[in-house]
Amino acid sequence: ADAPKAAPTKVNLAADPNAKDLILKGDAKCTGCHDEADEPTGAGTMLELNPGVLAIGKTKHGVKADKRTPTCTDCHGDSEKHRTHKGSDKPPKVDRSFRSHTPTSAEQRDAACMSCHKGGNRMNWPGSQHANGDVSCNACHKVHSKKDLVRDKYAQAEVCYTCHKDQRVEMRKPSHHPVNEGKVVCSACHNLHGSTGPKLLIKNTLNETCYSCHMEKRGPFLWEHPPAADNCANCHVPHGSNNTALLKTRQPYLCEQCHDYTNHPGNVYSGSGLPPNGAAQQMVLRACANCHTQVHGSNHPSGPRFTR
Amino acid sequence: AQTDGPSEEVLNLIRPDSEISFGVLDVSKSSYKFGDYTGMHKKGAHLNGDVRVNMRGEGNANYLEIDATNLGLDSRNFKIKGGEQGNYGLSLEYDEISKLWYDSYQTPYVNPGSTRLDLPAGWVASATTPGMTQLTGNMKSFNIETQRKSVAFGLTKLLGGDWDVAVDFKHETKQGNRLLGAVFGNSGGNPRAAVLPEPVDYVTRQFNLSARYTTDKLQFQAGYSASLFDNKKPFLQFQNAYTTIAGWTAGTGFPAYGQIGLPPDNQAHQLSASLGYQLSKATRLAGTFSYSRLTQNDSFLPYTSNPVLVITNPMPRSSLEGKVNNTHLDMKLTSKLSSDWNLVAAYRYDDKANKTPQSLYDYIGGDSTNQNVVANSDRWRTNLPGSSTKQLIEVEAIYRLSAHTKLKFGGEYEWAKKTFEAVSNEKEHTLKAEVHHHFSDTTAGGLSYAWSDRQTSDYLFAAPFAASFAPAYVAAQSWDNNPFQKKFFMAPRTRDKIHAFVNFEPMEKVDVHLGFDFKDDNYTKSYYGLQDARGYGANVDVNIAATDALTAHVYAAADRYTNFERSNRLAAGCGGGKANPTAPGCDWTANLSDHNYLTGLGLRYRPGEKYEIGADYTYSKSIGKTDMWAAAGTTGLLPLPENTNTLNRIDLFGRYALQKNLSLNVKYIYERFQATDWALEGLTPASMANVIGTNQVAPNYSVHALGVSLSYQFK
Repeated sequence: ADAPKAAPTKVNLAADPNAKDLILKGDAKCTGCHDEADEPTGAGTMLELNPGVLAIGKTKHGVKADKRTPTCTDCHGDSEKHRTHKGSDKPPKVDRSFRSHTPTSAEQRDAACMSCHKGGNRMNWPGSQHANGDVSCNACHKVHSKKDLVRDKYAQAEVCYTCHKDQRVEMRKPSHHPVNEGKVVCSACHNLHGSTGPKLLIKNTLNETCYSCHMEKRGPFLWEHPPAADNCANCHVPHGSNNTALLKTRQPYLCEQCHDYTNHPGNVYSGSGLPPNGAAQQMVLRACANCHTQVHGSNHPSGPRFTR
Repeated sequence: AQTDGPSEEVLNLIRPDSEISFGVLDVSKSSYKFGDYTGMHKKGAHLNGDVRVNMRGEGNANYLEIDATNLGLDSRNFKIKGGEQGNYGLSLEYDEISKLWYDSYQTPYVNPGSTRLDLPAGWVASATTPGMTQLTGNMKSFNIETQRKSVAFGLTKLLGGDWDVAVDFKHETKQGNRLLGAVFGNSGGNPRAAVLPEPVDYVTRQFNLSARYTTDKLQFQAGYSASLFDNKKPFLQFQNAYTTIAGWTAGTGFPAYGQIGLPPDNQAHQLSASLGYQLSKATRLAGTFSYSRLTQNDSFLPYTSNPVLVITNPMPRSSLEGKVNNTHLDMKLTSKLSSDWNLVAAYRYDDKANKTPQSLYDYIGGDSTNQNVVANSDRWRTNLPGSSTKQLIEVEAIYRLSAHTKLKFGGEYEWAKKTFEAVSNEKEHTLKAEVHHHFSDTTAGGLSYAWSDRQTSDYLFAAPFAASFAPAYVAAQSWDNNPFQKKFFMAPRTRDKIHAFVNFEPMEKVDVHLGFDFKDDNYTKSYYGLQDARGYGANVDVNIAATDALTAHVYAAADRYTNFERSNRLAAGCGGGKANPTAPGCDWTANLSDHNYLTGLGLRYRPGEKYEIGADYTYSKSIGKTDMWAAAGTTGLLPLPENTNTLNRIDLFGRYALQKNLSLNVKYIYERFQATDWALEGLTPASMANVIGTNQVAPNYSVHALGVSLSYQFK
């Protein structure tokens, strides 16, 4: 069994005026925090409590030769009371804290990031769904981590699932985009920093976003299928479905929600169309698409019924 | 004090590290479903490796990053980035995505994958599949899969004066096969079909160029992008497995060939400009304008590839000259009116101007009949290049009621104009309200509600029909879709959405999340068609950090989506037909519901640098129910079985440090998947008289995968 731990030694914490910067210009103000006996005690110097903060040195933010990179106080504020605190008790919080249950508002935290990261993909951040929902930058990004998980193909979705639980269920359905498999990331379709399109999509419209990968369905076709040209989401769901090809519901019933005419478009298809009772050609295998296969549009002069 | 430079321990914490891993992955059984997208579909041992390099210059801003994963699998990815931070950056990425559709598909055609599919020698054609005596014995397996391979290049460069530029180019090929229905004969009359492999051989190229100007007050971006789609296999020819049947012209049966068109080449070019401007400390304006042009001018295939058929009326043009101009404008004003009030106002304009010329085509149904030249033929068709203009105004006010409570109120007004549709105008109002409240330091919750109402202009059910068919045919038929059915995507609708959540910490280091969602689309004015689409979802998540070394998470979720639709058989036998499209005796309904359950459990244990272990268990089940009802007197109405998918999966992984820079990694996956699908079960190649079957079955497998690798870490 582990030996009982000794009670923490009473130490006096202070910044070492002779400390040198470790990573960032001027970071000694923070990383130089020590106990005046110069003995590592585990009682509370910054590096003893938070050695992980140094991982910023492994990231782009830790490149001192890039004159744009910030130092600790650029993000956390000057934090004078925190820095000049002396004594063994807990120092006051930094001016801008990014920890959970921080008194620093999401807006104030975002301001630290936006002071450099404005424009480009983040031009629409103010007023975006995430900004208005108090989802601050650090809710998703880990600046003091050697690997920012939300920027990793295999890990990003788990970060998003932290809030978006529905999408986690949908991505486990039999038909889904390869997000959990690490081949498509949420940010391939959504600009989480704000967008001009609906649902934070990266493009102006849903169809334009889908065509980024599915250009063969873009047309324009000689014979357009209006719901397909109007909005892919009329028939498909984006994240996951129990039906093949991410269809909203099963064929032929999906098609029959719009098509009702004499002969088969208006027929009632039930268990009598399944083996061993029968095998209705409009119901089994690919159902309507056994014949009407070009449902996204046909460019064949003989294709107005999407069979060519 | 750190006066003599950082210690070795600190340097380890500061300096970027890199890792190379190589090993073997053994898969116990071949399965397309298991290997879909992951590349783990082949039984046996596979050499595999990952590389992660992160190197930065000493005293300068140069960097080199390499990220390579699954190098031995069909899901491999390789990315290298380098440059000088704050000056320029270059990137190159290679990626593969395998979509494995079906490994149980079979076909009697002897050369699946080619663009001209032939039947075996000695084929015995018949009017229906049971008469094809050579069918069953000639069914051969052919796997249906596509693979994307892409190479992407990127360059960023910071220029002086707050300007920077970015260029990227991506070249992607997609090759393989997918399934299509290949039909002879005309829809609505005498079709005969086979489900065949459609060859896929696409090349897409995407190019983006942007220049950006960024200051504290003003951000501006202008760009050009192009995306070009090239299909190297524009058609599929297939031999007719059927004899000439009643209604077909002589000579169109076996051994004649039919021809179906595959996606045409197309292009899109877009110019865009975006602006963000800080009007004051509290107010910001942002907006984007873009103009794009889509074109498609692939040469038309002939009306028919069958030389025995007579073409009296030539095609009106040799290609579509398809052209669509899209104009987009959006503006967003955000303002912090006071310390308690925030306001967002936005406007969006999307215009799709379809400039594709209209022409009159006298088409041939499924390579089976001579052209029908009479004036009231249903074969005379005019194409309908639809255009639309959609606009949206959105306002949202956020009020911080107290330090613990935030309220949001919002409204949207969206309106649209469309051409060649049953509806020419739509408008939709949405009202939203939301509250977030922190009950204590450890408990927070939220509730939101949104209500929408979509109204449309008069539903002119026959408008597209009249615009596309010949006047003489329109006069004789009046309509081609039940006048009392409204197509759901342009039908009047009300929508309710509710979202609620609670986050709390019942004890230190334990987080609990509870969530609930509800959505209901009610098509209030649709006598037939989709009546109601409703969904519920509930979830619970628990995260536990038992110690610094041991963490655990548990989650469970369930959702249910239901579509309720109503239709009419329009059959004389039940008193209906075109003269009485609402005959009660012909009514039927379908209630389609999907029930989904997901549970997960995970553990991570990392007592120090020496080793770490972890485990995940995932259970997922979906049940698809189809409940039918039909008016009394309807014969042959039988219940449908449920479609189910059940997944059980265990992931175990561990890492053990053999030496300071060398680790042994082990991972194990067990996955069991069971599915039932009434669209496939019990079908033989000749079950359907008029469609050749494929012998496909729903996936059902148990697979073990064991991976062992060595990782070398370096700086």
